[in-house]
Amino acid sequence: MSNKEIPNEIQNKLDEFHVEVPELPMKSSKLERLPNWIYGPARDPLEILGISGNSIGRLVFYPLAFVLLLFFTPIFFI
Amino acid sequence: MSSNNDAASYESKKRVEHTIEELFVIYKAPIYRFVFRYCQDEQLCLDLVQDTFVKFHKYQAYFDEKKSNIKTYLFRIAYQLMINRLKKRSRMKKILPFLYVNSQQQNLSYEDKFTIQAAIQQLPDKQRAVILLTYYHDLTQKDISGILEIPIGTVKSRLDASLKKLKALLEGNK
Repeated sequence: MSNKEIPNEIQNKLDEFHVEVPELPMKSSKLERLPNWIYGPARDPLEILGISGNSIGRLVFYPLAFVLLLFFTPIFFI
Repeated sequence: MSSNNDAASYESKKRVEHTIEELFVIYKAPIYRFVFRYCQDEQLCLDLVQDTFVKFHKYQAYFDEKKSNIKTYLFRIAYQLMINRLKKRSRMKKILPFLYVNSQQQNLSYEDKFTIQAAIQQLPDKQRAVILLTYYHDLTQKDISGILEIPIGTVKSRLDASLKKLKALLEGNK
């Protein structure tokens, strides 16, 4: 099967996928790649606690709960 | 005598490097486009293009012009590197899920789900490579079978299946 045999409607859709090629050097050392890895997108670590931008209550509550837990834990060892 | 050998070796090395530079200029864009359309991750694709030429430089001696052409050889290297990198990433994702952002598909809006980018991303891996190489890179089925290291019959069946699946995805009939 060649390109001509691909239905026109799919060809039109496939043509919409343009890719801009950025400037890239032939080689880059691991040290040069490290910042890309460090600054790459990562998952929000607070997502699991349900903390988003405007949930200040939870943002205050979780550290407070942690501090209280840390404070009262020695009581169980007396 | 020794200096003659050194000079010959230097000339040969210079010629090889020049050739690789030329190849880089010619093939960096097609290879980048192929890997980008496959995995849609810009940073990974930049690394893959560079790694392809580094690996080519290393294994250039194994390239046999009679068996395949240079484009097929470079695409095969890029494809193998990409598959290995994606497998490694998938393993890491299972071990350290908190380091990875949610997959692109989950974040897509209703309208975006019917774009060609999303449809290609939803194709099974094996079918995706076949349709990308056929349509965007105008490669023959023989070349594709060489790149993916599968029989020509399998290329045909995967292409057929990918077109059906793509049509269904674009129409929204999953």
